[in-house]
Amino acid sequence: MVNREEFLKLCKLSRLEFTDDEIPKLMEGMDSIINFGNKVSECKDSSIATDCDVSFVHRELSNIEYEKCIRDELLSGGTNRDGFFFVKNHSN
Amino acid sequence: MSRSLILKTHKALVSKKVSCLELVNWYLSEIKKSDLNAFITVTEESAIESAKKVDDKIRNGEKIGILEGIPMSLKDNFSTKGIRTTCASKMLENYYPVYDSTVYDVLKKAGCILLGKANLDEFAMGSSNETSYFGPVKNPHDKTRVAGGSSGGACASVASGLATFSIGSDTGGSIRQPASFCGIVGFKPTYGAISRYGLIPLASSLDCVGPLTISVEDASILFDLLSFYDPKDERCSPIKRKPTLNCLENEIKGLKIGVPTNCFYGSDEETYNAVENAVKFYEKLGASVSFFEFPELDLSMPIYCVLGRAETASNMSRFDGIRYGYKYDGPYKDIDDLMTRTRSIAFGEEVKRRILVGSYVLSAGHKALYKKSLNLRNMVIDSFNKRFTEFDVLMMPASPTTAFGFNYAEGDPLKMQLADICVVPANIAGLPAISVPCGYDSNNLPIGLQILGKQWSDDLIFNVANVYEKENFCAKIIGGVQYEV
Repeated sequence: MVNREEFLKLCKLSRLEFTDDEIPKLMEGMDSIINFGNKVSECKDSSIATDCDVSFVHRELSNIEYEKCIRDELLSGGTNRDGFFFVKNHSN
Repeated sequence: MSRSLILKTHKALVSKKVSCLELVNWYLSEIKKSDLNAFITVTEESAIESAKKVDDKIRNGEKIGILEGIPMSLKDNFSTKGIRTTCASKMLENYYPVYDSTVYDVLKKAGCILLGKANLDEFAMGSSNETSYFGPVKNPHDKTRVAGGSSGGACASVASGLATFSIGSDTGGSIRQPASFCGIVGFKPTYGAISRYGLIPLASSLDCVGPLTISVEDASILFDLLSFYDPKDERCSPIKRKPTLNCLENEIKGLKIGVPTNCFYGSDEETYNAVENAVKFYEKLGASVSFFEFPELDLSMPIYCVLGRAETASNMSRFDGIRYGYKYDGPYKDIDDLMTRTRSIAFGEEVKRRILVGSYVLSAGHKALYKKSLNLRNMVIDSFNKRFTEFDVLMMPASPTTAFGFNYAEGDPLKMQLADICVVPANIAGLPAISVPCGYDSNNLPIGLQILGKQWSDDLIFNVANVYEKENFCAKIIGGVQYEV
């Protein structure tokens, strides 16, 4: 439960200000989300290695080469796509 | 007959059944007539100019690309050089970016014609498109209901024939949930498959970009175009992509489908039945189906509430009234006062609440909660990895219910957040996932089947979705531009 004093500190930290009328509704909404998020505290710590993150497969597959993805006809006749963001060794 | 609206439109253009200018004017006139509030900005002048150039090429006998001259909309959180990019916020009401997002740059180079920037929840924070500074978007199937969010305008524009396709962003289901509500296809790719350079960020470890289309084939065409390594997005993966378009017709006999039963808790009966029927369809084609409990999935939403808001608070700190965007123009004491007044005036209530929760999570005394959520996120990812040794794909609803009415969760942010309960797990684990229409409820509102796969199995997701769509195509375009080829 966030009390008023803590709420005002968070407002300062977030560079936000509210009228007295706005505060109770916001505090209530915050509480419901924080209490729900706090469900994670009830769980046991996982023993999963910390390198198992959302992009782990990127590393595992980084040496696999697939055939090119974009079919030529998708862009044929279109304007030149050799834009600045294509890197030679990685462009498809 | 192809279900691809892109290919149908392309054929109509090259066979001269319709000129690109006629087509674009047709769309623009439908947009003007529409009362859905799907667009924030309509780019009429540049669309007409681009259409004339395509017509010149066709008249001169030059070959045009498949996407050349195809009218599209773009969610208004993608930067477009010289075109207003508001993020549906007062903060960026008059913001004109000085560069293009990679996604828009590629679409432009492929010849697509931008009709306008689509409405969304403010800074993509919401599940109903009701937090937009420019007003909510109505659902084309029932105007008394929401289009879903946060890509509500983008989905409504496609479902109501105001654009051939659209591009959205998905941080916690913002492509798949509104796609389900509007009865179209919405695809969230593997995290890191499509560049987010120029996408105004919400939560960077979750944000993804993806297509919104009438058919799976259209989504596949767009994914193949947009999925490539872009060093300008630090998390865009350098791995070589597998093409998806030539996998659409692969046989799925022997496919192993897992259906997590806990995903149906809170689902309405008609949604449950529609998804169950879809699963039975795959069984008839020779797939094996297993129903199982997946308790780790239930952790996804609390983890999202902690990590998503922490990242949001961090990302939103760039809006300070000094560098760009709205600036408070009254008297102020010091720089802190200027920032506070600017942000307090220009952000909407939901944005402020998410920043406050994010600041809470990141502040001294609460870091254990943040670290625990990171730790548990790894556990969820690991659980998915284990499940994908048993199953090729998982199936579940894209939303527990069909589109709800306006003010459904007034004053209860958690109730609104829980509308995304089925779509958030794919963001937590960075998985590819699609919502494909699988029927209608008794109110004639669309229901979406969600298909998830392991990372970089985007090709399989398209294949599995396409096999279903081929026999059960039920996307409808409600009004707007419709033509036979």
